[in-house]
Amino acid sequence: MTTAHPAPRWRDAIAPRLALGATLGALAQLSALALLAVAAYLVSRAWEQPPILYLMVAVTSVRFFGISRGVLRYAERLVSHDAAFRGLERLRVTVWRALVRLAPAGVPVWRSGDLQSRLVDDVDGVGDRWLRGALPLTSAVIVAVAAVVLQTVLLPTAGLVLALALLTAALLGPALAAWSSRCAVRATAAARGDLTEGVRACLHGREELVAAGTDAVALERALAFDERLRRAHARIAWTAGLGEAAGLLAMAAAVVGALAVGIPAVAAGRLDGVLLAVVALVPLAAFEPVLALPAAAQQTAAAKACGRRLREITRATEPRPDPAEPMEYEPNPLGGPPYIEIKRLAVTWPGADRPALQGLDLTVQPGERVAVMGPSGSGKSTLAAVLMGFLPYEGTLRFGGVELAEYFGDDIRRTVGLCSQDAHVFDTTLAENLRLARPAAADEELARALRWAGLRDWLEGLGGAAGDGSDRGGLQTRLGEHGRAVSGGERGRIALARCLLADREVFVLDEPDAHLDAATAARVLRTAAAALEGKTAIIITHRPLPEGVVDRIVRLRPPLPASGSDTGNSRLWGADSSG
Amino acid sequence: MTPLAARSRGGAVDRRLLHQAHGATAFIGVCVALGLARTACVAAGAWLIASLIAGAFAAGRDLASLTPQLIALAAVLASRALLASVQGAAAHRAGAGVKSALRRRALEHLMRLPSDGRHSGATAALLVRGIDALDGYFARYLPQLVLAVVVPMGVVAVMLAAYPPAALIVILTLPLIPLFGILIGRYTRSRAERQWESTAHLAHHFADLVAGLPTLKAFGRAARQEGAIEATTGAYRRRSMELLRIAFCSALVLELAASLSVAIVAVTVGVDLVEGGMPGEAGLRTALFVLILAPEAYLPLRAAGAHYHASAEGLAAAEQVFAILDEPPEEATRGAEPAQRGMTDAEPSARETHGGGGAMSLPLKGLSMGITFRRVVFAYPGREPLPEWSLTVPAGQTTVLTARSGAGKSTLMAALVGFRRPVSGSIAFDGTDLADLDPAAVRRSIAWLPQRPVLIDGTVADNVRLAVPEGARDAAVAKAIAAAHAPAATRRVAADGSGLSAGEAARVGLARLLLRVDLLDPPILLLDEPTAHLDADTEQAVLHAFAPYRQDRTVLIASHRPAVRAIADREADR
Repeated sequence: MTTAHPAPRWRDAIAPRLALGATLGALAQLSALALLAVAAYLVSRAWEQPPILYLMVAVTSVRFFGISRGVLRYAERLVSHDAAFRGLERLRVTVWRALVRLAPAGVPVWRSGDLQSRLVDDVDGVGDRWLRGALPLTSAVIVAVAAVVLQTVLLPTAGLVLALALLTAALLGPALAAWSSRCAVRATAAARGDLTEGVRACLHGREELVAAGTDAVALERALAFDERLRRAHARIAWTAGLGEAAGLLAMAAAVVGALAVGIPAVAAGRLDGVLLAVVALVPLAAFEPVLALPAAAQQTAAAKACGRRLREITRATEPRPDPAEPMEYEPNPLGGPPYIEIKRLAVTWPGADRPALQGLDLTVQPGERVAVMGPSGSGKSTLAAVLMGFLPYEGTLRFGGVELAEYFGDDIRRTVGLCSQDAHVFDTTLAENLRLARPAAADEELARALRWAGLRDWLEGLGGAAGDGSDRGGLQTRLGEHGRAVSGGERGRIALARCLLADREVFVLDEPDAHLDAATAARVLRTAAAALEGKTAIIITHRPLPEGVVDRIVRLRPPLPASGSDTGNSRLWGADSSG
Repeated sequence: MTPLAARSRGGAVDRRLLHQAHGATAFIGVCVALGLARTACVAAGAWLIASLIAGAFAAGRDLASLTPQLIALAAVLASRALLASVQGAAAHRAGAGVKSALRRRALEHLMRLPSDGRHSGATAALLVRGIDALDGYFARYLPQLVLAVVVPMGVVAVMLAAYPPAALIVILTLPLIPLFGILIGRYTRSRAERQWESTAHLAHHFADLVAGLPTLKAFGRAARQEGAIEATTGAYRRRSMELLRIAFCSALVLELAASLSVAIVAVTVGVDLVEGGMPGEAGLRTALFVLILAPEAYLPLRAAGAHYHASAEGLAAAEQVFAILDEPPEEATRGAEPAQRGMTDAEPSARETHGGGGAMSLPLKGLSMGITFRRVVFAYPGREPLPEWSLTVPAGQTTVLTARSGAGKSTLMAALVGFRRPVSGSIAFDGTDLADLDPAAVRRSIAWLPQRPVLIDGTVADNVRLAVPEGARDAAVAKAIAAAHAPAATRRVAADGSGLSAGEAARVGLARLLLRVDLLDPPILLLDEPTAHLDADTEQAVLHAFAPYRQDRTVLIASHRPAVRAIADREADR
């Protein structure tokens, strides 16, 4: 199944602005061409010493083109950047829609900060494609055509020469530049890979190596690959300037060719001598944008790679598509938590070759609190994800007698609240972070939820007691990258407070005690349990819970084949990574 | 898309790049020479074109009599293309050297920095892929910057000789470009700094939302963010455009100066010609010569601006590398230059054990009392502190640590080799505080097997040899390999561990430990989960072979395995 959204409309929306930008860019380049052509004519004509009045048109046009090029270029830059920014706006929304469908199981980006930032960079990279790829190409083509037309009008053979030379440069320059890049990649790929691994090993094993006194030995071995990489780079260095040289050679041919056909034409009277300078100098101006094409081509190639990676996301298959004809969501007609029934449940993460959770049987009465315990790799977090409607499953998983697969995912999540291990603290105020769970919550409710999660002292430490009107401190404290740093333990408890605040019937708490010492964990879990009175709670943990927090404990066993060091897929796809 | 972000970084990184990397100076010399040669080509080409036109038009000569000049023109223009090619090759060659030097410096420095919180994979990618991105800087931007200085000066000199009034126009307009560049830069910077924080904040918004999407989806609030994304991106666009309107003015000045001065030169020359100031073929030749030459004075400057973008990615990486180079080295490795240590065969041990700078040069030859941890607490930034440790490891005995996972057993061992400092409490060797001992000497008295021993690219023997800096004879290596039941000495190992199973890798690490014990006779052995990946039979065999090695040594093993606990003289929790 591909995207449910129509073809990317963001490109159409900015098309007029891009077209305007391209037009302005082309006009700027045409001004440069006209400036040189008219200046050449002016000088030649002036040499014939006509009355100065005859030259006034040329003088005025030269001045005009001298100014217009700069001004038009400035306007082009503003218009095209504005268009690119607007395109980005649309593109971000498009990518966001795709991500919303896929998250979190369908994209392997969460868990890896590197991939996450790459995704953001890719969106920006596509913007570069217009600015540094498409626009230079458009104006180069327009200027080249105009120059050829002008030459042809003056002297048809000169037009032909220029056309051939431009074509050669436009094709050969980028091709050679691309070939040179490919050469570089081929020559250096192996050494680069070995070097990366060697460096990584040195860094990873640094302490052992330094302790043994052998860090220098290991370093030299890794740097031997660097020497190989340096030699490979040096060996293929000669290819680097070929693209530019090809363009310059073509330009040389165009200039020499123009003179070679122009001079006999003047002698034969086919070309007015006054225009010989124009014929000779037009190639210089016509080549200027064409010489920039190798760089534009490289930029386009890089942007294409960005676009390809984004398309992988916008066209990815939804891990748990919503049913075509969903059941009306009413798992408990009497109100309150639904009756949950799980039989022979098996769950496999997308892309994994074996289930992360297998053969689970579990029945949870409305209002019951159950602890699910098990070693790492036994599928605890997978259970959380499937209860949230993030993952497809095999076997039976019923809420109020209806299979979860029959419901809309968003409907499920209106009943089920999750406090996950990797809950995100957003770069905004504490209050806004909490109000995600319940937008209408009053400040007192937010403070109460924080107290439940064991953050009373922390909140007081933030100063500006809640409700005193100051916009910094207290609940209005900014968190995240641009605000107050939040430790792992605080993050977990903020997530717990946020979850407890949510108006849900079923709560899935995934290792709520992960970063807490035993005493704090016991206190927090007891208050949380009290706060969840009357609701269903499934608490996932690998530590024994204090007395009275849960009604019952269920133990998970790792799915067969048992494996202590479960790496690979489960880590990539965000399955249980505890312990 | 972020010209402002790139530009705000300023020249500090450029300067450091050129200072740090030897070879860069020679490269700039080559660039200057190539720039001069290029100026000569440009001038000669302009002169030949001008004479050909003047010859045909003003003197009415035919192609046959002008052919030598036409051939010369072809040769000159071809040389210019050749120079471009040579320039590209020289730039890449020099760039490769500079990148390699920078990489070596960074890596050597990294080996002396604390490893906490550094992702080794990401850092390796920065050092390899990131530094390689400097190609754009060395191959395009830097040479162009040199050309932007050399070529205009050369062109002005030639024009001055040919026709001073035209040269004067260029001389007057050329300085306007850097002048306005600086003025506008200053103005935008003061404005930019005021807006920067909020603009950066807006740019960061999308990344923050993407990172938190699973959370938003869990609370059913993901779809609602669309409007927020549009709004913040729109605000980002408007603020950026405000800044760009001013920032692009410097480019406007450049373009205007370039094209307007060509226009002025054309008009000046034209008027002079009309008034008869430049008669004959020579007059037309000079007029055309300066007209063709004038734009060449501005061309390199314009190209430098265009190439700036190509350098942005590499400069960003370089900035990160310099941030690493600015980090102070770990205390325990200070003064001990890794590049020297172990590189020479000349008695590194003597230098290390006696070179403790007057601190207690350590008598660790056989502990008499043992190692004591008194109320020791470790903390990692951003995490709850680990539980407190109080523990005595008696000298000459084997102690097995059985504390639960996550209690800090590995941290304890790392502290003994000097890589972790407790936030409170004390660690003492025979009653002397660890902090008062020379860390190099302490390390020399310890053989440590971490949980995941390092593997380098090479053979199993190469890997086992990492036991001691001095290297080891084949026989000693073979003995250790046999005792540890490690794979054959000639087996290939890749640095990513492929080629060995987890159990085999563990035994290579063990062989390394045994070799160190054989060669250095250290009184203290630390083993972190040495048999975690071994089956019961291999475990027994390995432990049996290990027995003579732990004789009379102070041995600390972290393990839950019954077979390991069985060899303990003593078991210890916290």
